[in-house]
Amino acid sequence: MISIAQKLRAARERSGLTQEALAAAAGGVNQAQISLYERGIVRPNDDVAERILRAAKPRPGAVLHQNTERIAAIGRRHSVTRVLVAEPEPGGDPVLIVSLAPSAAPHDLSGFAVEVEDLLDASVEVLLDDPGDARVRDLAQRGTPLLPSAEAAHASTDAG
Amino acid sequence: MTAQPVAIPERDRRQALSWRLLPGVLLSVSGVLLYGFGTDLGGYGALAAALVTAAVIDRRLFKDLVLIAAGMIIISAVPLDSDISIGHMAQMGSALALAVLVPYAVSRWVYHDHAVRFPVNTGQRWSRAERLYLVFIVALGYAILPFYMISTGVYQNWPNVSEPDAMIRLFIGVNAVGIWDELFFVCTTFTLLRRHFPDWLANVLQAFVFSSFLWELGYHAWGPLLTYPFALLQGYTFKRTKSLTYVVSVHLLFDLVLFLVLVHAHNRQWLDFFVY
Repeated sequence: MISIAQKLRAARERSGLTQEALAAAAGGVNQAQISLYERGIVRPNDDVAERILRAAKPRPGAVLHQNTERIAAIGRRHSVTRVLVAEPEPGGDPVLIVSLAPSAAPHDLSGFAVEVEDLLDASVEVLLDDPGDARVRDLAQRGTPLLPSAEAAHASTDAG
Repeated sequence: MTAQPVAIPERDRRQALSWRLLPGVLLSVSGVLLYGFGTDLGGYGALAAALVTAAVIDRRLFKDLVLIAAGMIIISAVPLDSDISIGHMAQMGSALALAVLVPYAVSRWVYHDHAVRFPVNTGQRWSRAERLYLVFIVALGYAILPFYMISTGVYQNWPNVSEPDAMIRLFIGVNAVGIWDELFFVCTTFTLLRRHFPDWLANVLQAFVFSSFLWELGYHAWGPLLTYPFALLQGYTFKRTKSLTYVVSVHLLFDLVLFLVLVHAHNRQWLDFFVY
């Protein structure tokens, strides 16, 4: 039987969060308490355990950022030049807004979407970066660059 | 063909090294698995193995282990923690009461040997050493409990009590469990095991179950280094004094210190006279 301590530690490790970050995300607990729970020294009550497990649930954005390299490789195969991760609308799938190279084939957008979904084992909405589309424009404003990374983009700007 | 239990000559009873040790050890292991590790499958499996081997080796041991096993199964059926909500206290209190009453009733009215007894009024005055030991226990609790509870953080396994009604419920809960520990682990488990094993061995075996139960209650981290010797001491004290009243007094004095430490640990500005 998996103890609650093992369950909490496994959930946090999957999420990639530090104990401190998890405590902040869960609220009402601090890093020291998370440490005590994970070591089985203190048993959290059901409400606290549930709150921590919920907070440790990987966020789509975090999962995307953890797989940047693989998504970049998929992007290269499909002539993708830029990817923004936008916060999904409540209840929606994570949104990727992509720019394609002029040489991209018509099926590159859908090919990219399918491969990314296979990689993440989750539904992802992939939209073409179209400034004329109000929703895309709105999402893009709140998005964060996944590809190229912020550092790479900055470096390339400096070099240019 | 029905397996006949091996006949144990009377002179061989209560020997440390005999086949009877196997079910005795299995019983202790089941306690560790059930309460210490929370593994029901392994715990019930070890308990069943203890009963089966006892049935084959010694029918009298089997009958007594059935009583202990009944109590252990009853308490394993409810969550054992320090939740002081009325509902949980009623549920846990009922299970603990049954775990003592069932072995007592079966021993008295089914087996008719009345092996399980709760000697409250022994008619003996407590000796000077016994009275001094009570003072020593308070001093021991004062020296160990604040350090153990606060340095490890295990006090958080007990609810944060800062309101009077919660404090009263925690006080009642801590004391009720303290009394129950002596009724079940000392007057029932230890007493029944003593009929088949030397006193020291019976004490060693019961202390494993006793300290495992305390682990599940919240005595984590290095708690067993504290609770196992305490369980041994309680068994030994009962053997010496033959008095439930005395061992309960010892336990409740220790628990009084525990209660005060818990209040302080959750409200550091209160009862600020502990050293840790």
